[in-house]
Amino acid sequence: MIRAENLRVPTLPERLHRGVLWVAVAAAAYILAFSLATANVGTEIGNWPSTWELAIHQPIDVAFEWIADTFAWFFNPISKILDAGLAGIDAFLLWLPWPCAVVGTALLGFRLGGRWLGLFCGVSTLFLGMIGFWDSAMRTLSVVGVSVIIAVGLGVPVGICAAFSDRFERIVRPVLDTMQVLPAFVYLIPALVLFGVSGTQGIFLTVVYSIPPVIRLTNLGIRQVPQAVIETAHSHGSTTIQTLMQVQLPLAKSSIMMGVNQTIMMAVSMIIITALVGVQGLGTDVWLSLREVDAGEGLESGIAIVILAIILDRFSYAMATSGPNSAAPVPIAAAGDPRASGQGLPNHTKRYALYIAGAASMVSLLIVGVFVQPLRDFPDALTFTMAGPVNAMFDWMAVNLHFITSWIRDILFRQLGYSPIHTLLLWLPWPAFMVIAAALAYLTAGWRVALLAVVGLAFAGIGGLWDVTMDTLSQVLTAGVFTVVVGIAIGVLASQSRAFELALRPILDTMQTMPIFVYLIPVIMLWGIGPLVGIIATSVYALPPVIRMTTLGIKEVPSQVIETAQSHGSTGIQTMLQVKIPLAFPTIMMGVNQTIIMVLAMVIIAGLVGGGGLGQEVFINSIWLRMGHGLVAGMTIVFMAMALDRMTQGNRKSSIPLSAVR
Amino acid sequence: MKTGKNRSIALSLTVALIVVLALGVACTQAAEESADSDARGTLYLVDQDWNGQLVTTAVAQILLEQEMDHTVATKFAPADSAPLFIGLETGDFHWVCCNWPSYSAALLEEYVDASDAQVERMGSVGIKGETGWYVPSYVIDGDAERGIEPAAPDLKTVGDLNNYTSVFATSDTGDKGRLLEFTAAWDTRPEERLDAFGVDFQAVFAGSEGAALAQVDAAFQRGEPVLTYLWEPHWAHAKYNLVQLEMPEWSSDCYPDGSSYNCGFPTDDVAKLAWPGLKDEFPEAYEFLSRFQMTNEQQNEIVLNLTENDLTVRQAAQEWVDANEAIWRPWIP
Repeated sequence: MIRAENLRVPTLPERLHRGVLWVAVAAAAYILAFSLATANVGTEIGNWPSTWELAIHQPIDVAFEWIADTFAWFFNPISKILDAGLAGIDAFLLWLPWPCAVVGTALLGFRLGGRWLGLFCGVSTLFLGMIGFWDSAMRTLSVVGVSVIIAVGLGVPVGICAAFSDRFERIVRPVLDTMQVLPAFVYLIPALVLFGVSGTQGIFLTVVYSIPPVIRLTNLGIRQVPQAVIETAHSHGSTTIQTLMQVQLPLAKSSIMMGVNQTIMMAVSMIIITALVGVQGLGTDVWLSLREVDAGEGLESGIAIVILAIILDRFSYAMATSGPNSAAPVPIAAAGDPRASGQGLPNHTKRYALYIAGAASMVSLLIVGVFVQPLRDFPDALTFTMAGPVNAMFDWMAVNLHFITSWIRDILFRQLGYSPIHTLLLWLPWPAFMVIAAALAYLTAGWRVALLAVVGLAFAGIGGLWDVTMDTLSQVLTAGVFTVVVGIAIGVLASQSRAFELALRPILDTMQTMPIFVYLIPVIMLWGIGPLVGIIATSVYALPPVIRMTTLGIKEVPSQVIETAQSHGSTGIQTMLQVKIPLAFPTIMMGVNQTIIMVLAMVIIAGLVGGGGLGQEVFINSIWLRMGHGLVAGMTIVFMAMALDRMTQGNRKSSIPLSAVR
Repeated sequence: MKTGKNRSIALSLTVALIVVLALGVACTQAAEESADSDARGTLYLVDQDWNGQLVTTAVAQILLEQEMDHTVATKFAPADSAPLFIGLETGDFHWVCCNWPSYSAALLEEYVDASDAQVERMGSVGIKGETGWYVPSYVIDGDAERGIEPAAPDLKTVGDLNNYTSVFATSDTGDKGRLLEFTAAWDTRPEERLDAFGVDFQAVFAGSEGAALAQVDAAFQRGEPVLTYLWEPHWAHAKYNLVQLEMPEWSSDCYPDGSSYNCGFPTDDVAKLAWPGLKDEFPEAYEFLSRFQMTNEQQNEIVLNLTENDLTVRQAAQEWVDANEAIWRPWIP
């Protein structure tokens, strides 16, 4: 969501000058790091003093135990009620004859987005059954559905409050940031203790993670309603409540729906984590395939998740853009244009006839389906699997592409990236590193963020996690730099060639929706295990936003500017480097900002593929039931994310921090 | 605005319809359930994420349903996880067949062995787990068919590893050989053992079971040497030909009972765990589950049938139940 009026755009020479300075500093630091790594320096000096490490996890554990004991009466009934509701929806979706679901989604798709969306929805729902994930998909749908309803039900009122009170907004913001970045593993165990092992638990985790966008965009949408409109309403005698219900909310509708859209996508991305607390569905299938190293089946369940995500995304996107205020911002996730066929709606009679026909067909399918077995449960005869050939392909890649992949890992990522950065960070005495971090934060984002960085680092040190934090930070920086460089390069190419951009789109869409766990096995087979694999997997995962924003930014450069440059004799490359990229810089930085947050969200995954660092710390402590330790490690990640987020946002006063737009 | 209104009405109607239907289905099911089992509720067994566990649970489920008229459902909890133990304590889960003590030491202490702990141990299920360090057989014997030369022909014991440091070296470990470990959460103490054996290898944690096995799989595809921690019974042995290296035998002087690390691993006596209320709520099932046993061989046989003939877990378990009445008949109270 680019809002040009919010960007303070420095003049071109000013920015070039600053850019050169930054590049020089970075190059100097890199040369130092590289020579340190080659010289194999020890890391004895400059460690965080161990006497300064305090048991800050203890009070957390004590406090939590108190909460669990004192408020059990409150949480248990919630859990029972939600569980009963969930079980009902679950049973209904599993009972529903499958042709009803196929035709139903198709009709809904048709109604919301025209015949192509309808066709797509019908076919892909059928496909879900054909690859053998019907029951899993229905189970997952019920959890995602209930979670989204709760998230929206809670999120919209909170967003409204935030829109009406600046103070409330200031309090809510860091909380939302934390909810988005704090790894779910940190609150997995506490939530288990509070809610028990049940669907409620899965719903809780999903709601916590997915609620921020709907709050943010409700807030934003209401705040964007022009003051004049509100004053008019007031002058006509509307009360505040009336104005809210009849003016502000309707006008903010498309913004709120964009928030709902993002909330749905984030809820879908929690499917895998909720499987860890016993929620059955597509997530369970992914874990099973992961443990049995069946990449083919993992890919199939991943495709099922992507299909589910795309259908839900298109539905909510279509709803968002069809409101009274349809000048909606284009969402990142929705790439195709499902509205294309929405023109030339049939007239009313025709439409009612269609409704009736649709309802009639649904009811008849329902009745027939209940009595005819093959129409009730998805018949095995219609299913097929592609796991065999997919596995064969991965096996072939593991053998034949190994020479390239190991070169990429050992030279590109290890020797040139991770190893120098890691050595430098561990070699630097901790006070020196704090000063440098604070200075960087101050220069990019002001003294508040400098303070945040220092507090975060001190927190890591006191928590006994200094070295682990430095390890994670070096992985994050390596992945971040790689992603930004490659992403900008690809983005520039995509901005020059329409064909390339079109070819790229479905790939980027899939990359953003396909759960990372699905491609962990192929990635490990190609690259092995360890921190480097975590870095590579992270880089792949975090590429899309920077590519998209770069393409967007360059395409938005006014053509007069480019023509002027060309008339002054600039070559294509000169125009690109000296005009287009500098002018697109603010947009590109938004992509960089999102990428950094995605990289940090991946810290936990690095822990699962041998990357160590804070991710492993969080993961192991969740298994060992050490909530305090887990929370300390988790909060360190949050501090790191917040500081890096604000630093890459620069001086811009962006209205949506921490990449609400994913 | 008219279309918008129509839309909202249609939408609300649809939602209302779905809610009514859902409630209807839920009520019917609940009614059926209570009618079926004479006011006896559903018994929840735990499915976990490996085939050996799934088939063992399926055998128990089939017998409970077909021979004892119980209503049984399964819920899912990942291996060695907190959800498993919390669920067994609160009654969200009623019984799990196969807990490997080595992999959940902290949880067992908290939920089973602590003075105020409630989860009940129902004794061994009969599976014996053997843990060790393994290499692919082609590392020792080579593989003429694939043109793999034996990289470590005289490798038999862990002590021999020092002769083959460079064979097992990787870019992560530099000059040292690599011992592939699964996750640090299991507390398997590889560094201490390497020190005690005097072996100049470095342990590298894959972070998760899937990651470690994917690494083993890749090594097999490429015919590369790999030294990995693993245990038996495990499906990997059916897919890959692995040889266990000899280690000094485990005794009570060894970790975790004693302090010595110059030892192999203790045998895991895989245990049945139950919700404390199982005895009172489902007395017959409790009796049956206490007697329920399954050996490594039986479990392997079912899993093999499952993978080779591409059956579902349920089908493979049913086939075993049909063919082995003599074994399970005495379990039925």
